[in-house]
Amino acid sequence: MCPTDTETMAERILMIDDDNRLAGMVQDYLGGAGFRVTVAGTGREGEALLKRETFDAVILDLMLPDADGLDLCRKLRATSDVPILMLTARGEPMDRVVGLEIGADDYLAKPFEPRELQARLRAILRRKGGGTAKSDILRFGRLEIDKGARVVRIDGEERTITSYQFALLLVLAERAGRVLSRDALMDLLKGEKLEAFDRSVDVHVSRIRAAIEDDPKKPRRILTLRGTGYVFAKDQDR
Amino acid sequence: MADDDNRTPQYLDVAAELTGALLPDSDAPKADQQRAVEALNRKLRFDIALYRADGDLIAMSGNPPPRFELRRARTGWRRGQGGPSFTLQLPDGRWLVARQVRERPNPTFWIAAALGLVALAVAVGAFPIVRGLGRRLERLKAGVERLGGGDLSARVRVEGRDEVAALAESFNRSAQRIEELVTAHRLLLANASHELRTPLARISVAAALLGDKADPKTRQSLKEDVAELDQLIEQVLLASRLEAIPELERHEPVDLLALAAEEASHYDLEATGQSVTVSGDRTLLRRLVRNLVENARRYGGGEDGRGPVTVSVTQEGDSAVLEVSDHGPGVPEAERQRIFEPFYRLAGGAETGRGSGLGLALVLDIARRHGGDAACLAAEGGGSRFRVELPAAR
Repeated sequence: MCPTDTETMAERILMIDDDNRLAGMVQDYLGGAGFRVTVAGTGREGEALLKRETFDAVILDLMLPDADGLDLCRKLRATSDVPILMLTARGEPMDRVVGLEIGADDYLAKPFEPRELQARLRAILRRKGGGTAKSDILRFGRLEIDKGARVVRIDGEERTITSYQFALLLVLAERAGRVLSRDALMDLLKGEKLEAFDRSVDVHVSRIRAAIEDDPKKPRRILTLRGTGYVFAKDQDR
Repeated sequence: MADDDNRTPQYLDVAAELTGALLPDSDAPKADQQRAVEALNRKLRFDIALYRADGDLIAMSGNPPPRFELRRARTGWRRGQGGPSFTLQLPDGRWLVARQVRERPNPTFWIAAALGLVALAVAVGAFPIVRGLGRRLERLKAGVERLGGGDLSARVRVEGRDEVAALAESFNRSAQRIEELVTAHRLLLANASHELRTPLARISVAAALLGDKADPKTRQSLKEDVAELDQLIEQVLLASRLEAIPELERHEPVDLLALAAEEASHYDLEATGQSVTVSGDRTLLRRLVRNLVENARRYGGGEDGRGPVTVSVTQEGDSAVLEVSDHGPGVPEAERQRIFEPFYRLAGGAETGRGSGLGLALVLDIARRHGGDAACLAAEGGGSRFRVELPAAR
């Protein structure tokens, strides 16, 4: 799985984390997904590497032996616009806000699902490559709803749904955590052009589920509330 | 000595002679005697009473003198109420009792008056000091209360160099120390969280690296174990963080039914009922629902054919009511309060060795923080019914 020089297309990632075993495993995992990962064990080493070489993205741990990840992030941001994904295990909800305010592009809490790390990495790389702005992407765990490109992705992979279904998904996702009745959904979708044959919301929902749920029979993202309507889960893939 | 006492000094005899000469004879009419006594009273400004030799009052002028008792009467000064009085036996056997008219009240009054004056002077002089002191103590109290209210950065201004200033200084030192300790505690927890979660992250990545080489069931169970440990760490951190924060940090509208449905879905359960919005901290409310569902699933069965766990949300008056019922063995009535205590385990209950022991304690804490309450009741047909009431948002 080791990258070779011929793999010029492989995106170069710098991972700054003092846990070399974890870093080694992430290196293997992401290597298998086509990334070239370089590991730095300390903040200083990471900075030095960033000066010498160019990377497409940085995975930065919040707690480093010689530096505070937040300070380092701020420092990197001041000199470069390389996408930064923060890794942390602090577990205070405020960390997320802080991490993003100081210029990190995304944030992931340890322990993380490697697939999600990969998906988020792809997302920040895509944004850097002129993709949709961060504010136009709704992210729920491994699920990504790209409002700009009007596509939906799981683990960074596009899933096919119709444009009406996309509109329905968006209406639900933008109101995540709220119960929406079928009537309310129909109302919200009034402006959308209906497809050739009109079908009930339920049918569209099951199509969307087939596209985005791991197990459409046991939905985790779009939930049915019997006799009431639907709710789009706010906290997914935990 | 007694002889000495009884002997009348000579000057008193002279006084008696003179006084006797000034007064009419003892057999003169009472009116004359009265006039003479009044004249004396005016001239000498003495209260005067004249008694017969047998003790009967003949004439009196001014305020009534002290009670005259013939038995105890003798010439000389006597101390008594209203000041000292002088008793004199005239040569003809009559008694004259004279007391200087009290132009000045008695000394007790003067002492009291002087004391009062001093007190007033002190009060006037001390008023600004006392008022300043009061204000400073008030500020100190406010500082102490702010600290008690959870604002660990609370400090008070140190003014002056007296005891209050010393107290303020020592308060500031204590507050500083408390803040340091709490910060250290937080840092320790953050570090513990980091140290515990790093190996979990490794396990998680390792499981993914196994890929197709591992049995999907093993991989799934590994994933669940990682998630469970992660949750345990989360609960311990949350419990300790909540101890330090007395009030809710966030108030956002939360659809309780949607939240319940979301949490229930993780256990392949459905929530039923009405959509009710409560105002509060979504993360905490999620923890509340999750702990109840987790608890029901863990102790309430549902897997071995005992009937499923049910989750419902309804509105009752101004309250949002969340109920999670199971069909497990239930909780004996005597223990239904105690199971909300941290680390309380049911007596004789199967020790599964799982759970942080904080789950229900957090449920109660979070419910109360939102102005609600949590209770454990008996479910119909056996099992437990956990009921959480929260004020519904308007």
